[in-house]
Amino acid sequence: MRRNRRLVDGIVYFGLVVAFVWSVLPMYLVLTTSVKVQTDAFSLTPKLLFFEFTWEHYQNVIGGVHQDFLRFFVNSIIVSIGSVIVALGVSIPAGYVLARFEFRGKRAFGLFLLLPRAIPPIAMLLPFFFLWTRLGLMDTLQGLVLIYVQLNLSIGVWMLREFIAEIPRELEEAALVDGCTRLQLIWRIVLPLAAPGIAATAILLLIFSWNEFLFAFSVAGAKARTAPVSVFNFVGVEEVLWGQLHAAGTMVVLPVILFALLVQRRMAAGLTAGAVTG
Amino acid sequence: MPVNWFRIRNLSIGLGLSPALLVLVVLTLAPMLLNFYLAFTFWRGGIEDPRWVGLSNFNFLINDPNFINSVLRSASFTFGSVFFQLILGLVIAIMLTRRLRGSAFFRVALLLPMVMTPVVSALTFKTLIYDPNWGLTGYAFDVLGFGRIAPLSDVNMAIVGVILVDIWHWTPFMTITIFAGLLSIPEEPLEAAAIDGANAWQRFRYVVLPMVMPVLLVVTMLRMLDAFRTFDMIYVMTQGGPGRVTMTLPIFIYETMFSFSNFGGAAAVGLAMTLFSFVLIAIFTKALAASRGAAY
Repeated sequence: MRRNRRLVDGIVYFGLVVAFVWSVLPMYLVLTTSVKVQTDAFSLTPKLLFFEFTWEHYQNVIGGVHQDFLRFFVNSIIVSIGSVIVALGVSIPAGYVLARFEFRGKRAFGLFLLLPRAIPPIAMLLPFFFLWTRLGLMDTLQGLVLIYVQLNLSIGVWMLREFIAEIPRELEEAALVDGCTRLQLIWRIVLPLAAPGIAATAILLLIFSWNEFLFAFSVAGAKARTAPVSVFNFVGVEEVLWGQLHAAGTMVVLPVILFALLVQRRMAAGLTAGAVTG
Repeated sequence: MPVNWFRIRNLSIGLGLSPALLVLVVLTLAPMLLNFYLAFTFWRGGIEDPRWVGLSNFNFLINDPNFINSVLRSASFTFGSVFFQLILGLVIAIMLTRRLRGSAFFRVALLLPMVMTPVVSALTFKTLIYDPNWGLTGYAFDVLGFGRIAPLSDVNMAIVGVILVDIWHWTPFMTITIFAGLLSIPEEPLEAAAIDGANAWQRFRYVVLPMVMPVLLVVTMLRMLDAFRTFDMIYVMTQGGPGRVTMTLPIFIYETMFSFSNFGGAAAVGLAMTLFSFVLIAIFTKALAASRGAAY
């Protein structure tokens, strides 16, 4: 029996190591290619461990030799943070109401909230194209922010609703008895207590906005271009700038990975938010 | 009591929900209805006004073999990716529940592919792995004696190559959500089954699986919805090629819009995709209700 258990442990370990190598290998390749001299990247036998090291690609990417990457990177930061702030401003009150009140039409509203998650974004591209050309929002950061708020609303509200529902109701009731207004109560009690949940929600939405490609690629041009689209632009018609491509790729992915490590515990809840209840 | 609590309560509800309601109506519902309208128009994009043409976009579509083929390609991409993600995710999640030294490390490391920017994942595979001369598979195929094969340029292998990247990128989604579902299963039924002499397979099949089934259904639905709408990874790797072998519906819509300037036709395909998604949601909602009934 004991021997059996050890055998299973061994198999599980082996499986996990295989999964680990499979998961991490492509990331390792990106990272190493970003600091590999071009001749070592273009080697018929892949040079995985031993290669000539260089910072050149990062210097070229940051120096804007091929394209204005740094400006697009800043665009990405503005659009992601902007859309998360607006999305939270909209989602926190809605999440609070859904967590605390019973009212007629609540279920219908909850389902309505899932609509942005149910429609394929590609089916929204066309109407946004129509509207944005007429409203002067094409190729603007505000235009992207508005779209991302829409994309993130479902997950934002449903996640926050769950986090706020976890706060004991008694605390609020006590504050109400003490003469707190509803607004003071939200500001002084709900928000501080929900802060970890709000932070997790914010980071998850930040990751989604940061990684978005379709709209950034289609409704933003040279002015409002974001970093992921810029990474794609290192793929030219004639040749692919491998070193710069992967240096830029590393710069785009690294912040997301760091953020993900911060929220990994709450990620599962966020990813299925709303789907279980709805 | 001077204050009307009922009115204050309604006021709070109204104030709390109105910003979200505004976003939903203006930025989701209105564009969705606009797309619905545009599907019945002839429109070449830009500031020209769409012209009402009735059902002709739909008539054109159902007779267009490219559209039918894209539907089939979307189906094979969606089922192909999600099937393997579900199996792999379930197996890895079960392995993670076995408390071994280092499993916390594995749990975190194995979720990382999912947060990679999809475009970067796709470009990584396109260049560093699938490139015939300088990529890993090119080298491996060469060593094995098949020569320098370029999977993404091969009409038979391209779709597999693209699906493989989706599997790599999104299996962690299944792993962490299923893992969370497995952890929430109570211990008692498992212990009871063990005392009754059920072996490991029987415990999994008759105790664990029914209890985790709602989670499996939800995550499969979410993943199918997302795989169905995948644009970035496929576009970045193949732009629908070679020929049209990886042209799933999102790429087809994009091509119809920007290569053929047939915005009305693209709206019709978008509407079809939206309807497919709703049907998928309806099917899973039914299955979910059934599985909840079965588990208790």
